[in-house]
Amino acid sequence: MISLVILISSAVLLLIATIWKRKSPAWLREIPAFTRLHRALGLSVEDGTRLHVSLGNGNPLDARGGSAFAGLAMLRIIAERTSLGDKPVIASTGEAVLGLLTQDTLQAGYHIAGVDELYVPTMGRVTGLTPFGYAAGAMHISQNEDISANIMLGRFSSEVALLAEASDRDNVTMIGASDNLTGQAVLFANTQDALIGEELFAAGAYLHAEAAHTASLTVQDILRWLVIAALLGGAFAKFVGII
Amino acid sequence: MRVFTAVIAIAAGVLVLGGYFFPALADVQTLLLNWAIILAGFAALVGIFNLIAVHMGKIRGHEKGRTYSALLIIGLVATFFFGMILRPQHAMMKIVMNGIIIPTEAALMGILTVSLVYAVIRLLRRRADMMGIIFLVTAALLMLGSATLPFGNIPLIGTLLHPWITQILALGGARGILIGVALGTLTTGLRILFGADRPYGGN
Amino acid sequence: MSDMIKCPACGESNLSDQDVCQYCQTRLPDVTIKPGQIPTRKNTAELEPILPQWLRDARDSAREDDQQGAQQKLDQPESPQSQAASATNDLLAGLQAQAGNNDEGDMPDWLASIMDGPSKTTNPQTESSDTDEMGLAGKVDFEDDVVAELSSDEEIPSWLAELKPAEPQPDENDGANDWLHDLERPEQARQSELPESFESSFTDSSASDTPDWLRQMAAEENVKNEGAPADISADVFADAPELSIDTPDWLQAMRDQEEAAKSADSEGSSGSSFGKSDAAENPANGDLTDWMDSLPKDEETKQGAAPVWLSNDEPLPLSSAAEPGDNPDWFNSFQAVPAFQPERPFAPADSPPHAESEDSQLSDNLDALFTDMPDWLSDASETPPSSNLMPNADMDEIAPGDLPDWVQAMRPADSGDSQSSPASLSPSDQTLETHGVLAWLQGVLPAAPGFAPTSKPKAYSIKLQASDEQQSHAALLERILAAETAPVPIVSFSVLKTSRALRWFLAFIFLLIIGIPLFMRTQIFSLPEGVPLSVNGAMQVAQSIPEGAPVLVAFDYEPARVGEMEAATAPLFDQLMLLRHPYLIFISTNATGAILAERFISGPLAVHNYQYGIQYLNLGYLPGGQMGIRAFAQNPRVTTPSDMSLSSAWDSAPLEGIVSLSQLAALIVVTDDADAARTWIEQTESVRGGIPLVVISSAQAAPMIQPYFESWQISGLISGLYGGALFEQYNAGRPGTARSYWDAYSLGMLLAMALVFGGGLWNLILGLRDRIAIREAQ
Repeated sequence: MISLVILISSAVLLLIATIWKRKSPAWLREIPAFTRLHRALGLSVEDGTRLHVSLGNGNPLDARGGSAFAGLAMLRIIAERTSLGDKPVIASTGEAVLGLLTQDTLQAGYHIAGVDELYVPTMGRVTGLTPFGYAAGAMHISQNEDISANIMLGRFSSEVALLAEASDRDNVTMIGASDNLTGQAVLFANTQDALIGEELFAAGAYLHAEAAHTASLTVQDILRWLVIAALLGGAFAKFVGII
Repeated sequence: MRVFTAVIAIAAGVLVLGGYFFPALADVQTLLLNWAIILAGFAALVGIFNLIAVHMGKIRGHEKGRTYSALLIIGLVATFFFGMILRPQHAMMKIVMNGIIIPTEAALMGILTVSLVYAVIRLLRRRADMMGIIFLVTAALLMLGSATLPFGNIPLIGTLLHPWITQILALGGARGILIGVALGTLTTGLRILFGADRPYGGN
Repeated sequence: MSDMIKCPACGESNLSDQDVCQYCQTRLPDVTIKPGQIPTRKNTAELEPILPQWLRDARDSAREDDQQGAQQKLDQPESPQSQAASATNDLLAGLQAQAGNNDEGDMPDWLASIMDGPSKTTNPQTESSDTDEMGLAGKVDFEDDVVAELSSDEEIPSWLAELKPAEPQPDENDGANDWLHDLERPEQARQSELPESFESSFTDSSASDTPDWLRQMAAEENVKNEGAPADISADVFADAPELSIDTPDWLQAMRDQEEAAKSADSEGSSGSSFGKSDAAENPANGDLTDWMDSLPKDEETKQGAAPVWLSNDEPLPLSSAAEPGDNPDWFNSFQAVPAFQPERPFAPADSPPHAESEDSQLSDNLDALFTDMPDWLSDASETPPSSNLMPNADMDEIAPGDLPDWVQAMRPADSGDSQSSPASLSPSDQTLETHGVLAWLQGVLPAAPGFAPTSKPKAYSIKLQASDEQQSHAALLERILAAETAPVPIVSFSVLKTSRALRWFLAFIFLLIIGIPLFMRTQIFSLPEGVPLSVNGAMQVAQSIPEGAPVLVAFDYEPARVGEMEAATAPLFDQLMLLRHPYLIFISTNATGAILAERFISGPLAVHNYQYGIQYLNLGYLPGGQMGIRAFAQNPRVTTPSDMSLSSAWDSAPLEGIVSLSQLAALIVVTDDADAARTWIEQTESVRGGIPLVVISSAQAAPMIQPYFESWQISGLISGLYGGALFEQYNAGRPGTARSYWDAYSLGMLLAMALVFGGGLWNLILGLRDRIAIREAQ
């Protein structure tokens, strides 16, 4: 029942926040990683290089699907903005279902940009069915496809260190975010600006996707404060012997 | 057509979610989940086909690394047929597993070790801030606490500091991060249920 | 140069004080007067010396007889008819009005005195000072002077005596024409007043009492009778050259008329030159001018009486007098006054004056004066008085048509033909002024601003005179504007160069440090001591499983972590297989899990010789991730009906009758991912019942799974090589995998720690040094 209440309240808050954000755009704090992302987008179009977007190996059918959907939202925006570049973006995944969604998302981005004819199905690739196999295939793309920036947004474990090393060896800009703690630790050590925790889910809002993305951030903030209050209150209640 | 797909996706998501809270929807939930499992299995095959198509394109296009693409396709086909014919318990499959798959990935894991150490060493040169220093010191302490000395556990670090850091400090921070990730997953899912986000190709 | 005047006719230079050119005798223009220049107020007393003698005498006599004339006027008030006649027939009314309105006093006092007399309300002294441009100091009432002078003489004709200033009239114009008012009186009265012989009256008068002009008139008449026309103009200008400037046009016209009538008119007339001094010298001549002869002689006119034309009570209609045929010659001469023609040289010396013709001409002129009315007078009389009263504040507003002919004749001759209209001008004469005081002037520069700078333009500094505050504000504005257009520099991110050497070094050192203990199978480092509760719980579960009971084992770890996971898993399974002989059911949610399970059974646990289908079953790959686990937990028979060899999995003896997970003995999850462990824990919690769940995880996932153990959601936890080494000690060191790895593991950990700590410190110093250098460079 508690979970149902939380679910319903979150839905209502999201609706209200979406309507509010459509009328008054929100002010977002600066995240250096997304600033670098904006710069990488522009530079790739200007100098005719390619972007590599890695969505990890998260399965959309389980709890790891949230990061996968966040990555797909970002992929659509990037595909739309770089559709007219000299070299289109390449998206790699380590999960089959996510690979299908990646291809569909790229096609939707090109459709929005009005250049359906430029879409190629092999732009979305399943480079491996295991994390290290996926990492190996992604490393190959980073080293051989004239990549100017590696954007990794999804579920990554320690294998992301291999991608970071490949980016470092080729002087390729790397922007990464993972919902996995191990992946966050590895990205923190390997990148200039690491995205920690739920900053992964803010990618759409910082790329000016829709008001719903900004509203999601607001709902997260509200729920986070509620959780903090519940934790502190519960701990206090346990401490005093109420519960 | 895109509206139709959006309706199907939203309806399926609502039914599965409702099955967790309302027993009357449990059967529908089970049915939908079974369908999802079947589709996920076929999706794995589609992913494999995508992998083949990419590397075949490289071979046809005479791109750089097409040799490795050819080897990949050969190994994939061979493993597929051996597995289908000989079954996974067959010795050949064990040879393939023990001789190719596991060593390859173990080697990557070993490279990962060097990469992680290299990254941690250069961390403070990339970002000389307090977070970097704390990260480095914590990693060093945990590594020291995980090892033993010839005379036994490392005193104080192995017996007190290591458990306290891993089970209290790190665990608390990790839980906070995971709670935030869970909240993000919750709002992302709600966005998809409301149709504001359509990762299945909708506009 | 400024004292020289250039003659407009011959072009010779003359002194500025000369009125006539000394070479061609052409009247020199008044250089002191410029077109458009506002006339300056002058004291008429200063012009006294240039007046002719007769005029001076008349002025003096007028002063003396001023009071006497006023008294006479009071004693003999005018009849209403005469007043009306004087009012309407005041030929000089316009002159009087102009004299009254114009403060500058265009009308000489002597003329004003004739018209207004001593009854004028204005201060005679002021009036004379304001209007006395000719230097007629004091009140000059010529008429009064004449009358007074004449009245002092017994022989003064009555008509002349009656030439008194009229009573003050409300109409200003009446005063201007007083001397001619008598012209309107009935002829009889005039004739009665006129002497029978004007000539005799003049001749009988003594030289001292008769005015000069009268004497002159008489003389001229005599000369005229003799048939010698008198060159009045020559005498005038010869005797009084100073008058050449001030001679009115009408007098000039008289001269011209006389010249024209010299040959035509042989009738003598008494001279009537107002400016002729010869009359004063020859008063005995007493010749009347022609105009005086032309005056009608009335028998009733007694000697000394006024002529008929002066004695008429009925005013002569000016309109009739305006007819050219009825006007005297001198009047007609006023109508068409030719413009001054400098081309026509005036040589009075060439023609010696002829007294006789002159006298006759004068007499004719006198007659014409009193009989013929000049056009300007007729225009003035026709003009309603009120119109003349309208002040002209702006001279430019005066229409050219309102100006009388004699005024038009006074205009400078530089314009050429003053009668020419703008339409008749040649295209080269486009600069002709058509209105204003400069009307009919040609070649006038347009009044455009800046067209003709009259003075040197001021020199202004081109430097901007701005204060310090203004300059600072301007500089601030410039900076703001520059910032708007200046490109915003993009923050560039510094890229740390890769170090291949460091990588090679690390790889080498790790291979060396880890490889030696492995190959040498050293056992220097001691195994960890103490058994944590999580490991103890796993031990308890392993001991509580019934013998031969089915145990579900989930193999969800990657092939890359085989070494760690097998080292952590082998001790527990070795103990289970050794002591309890469970029926193991393997299942995996990743594609390689099933294969890894087979490797595990045939590798570290090969000593137990477990047979497929007898002691263990491999259900293979479970797709769907979390959904698959949930589905399997709810109905395992439906979700996985067959095993990895495609045979029926649930028909064998150990699994016969099992429909849910709660019928199993235990659930063991072997994973390197905390999420996988969490998924298994959460998805099977509702259907697992009370069966124990043990998680064997990698060291990286152990902290995330630990809370589940502490919350008693799981029964035991074995994490990584550390946990495996602990359990292996409890299992009597079997299988020994952990022990073999432990030295290498410990050395590797210590090495990594040293490298991280030392290398990090070194790079910290290098990083700080780089930042200091960058800061100093900025």
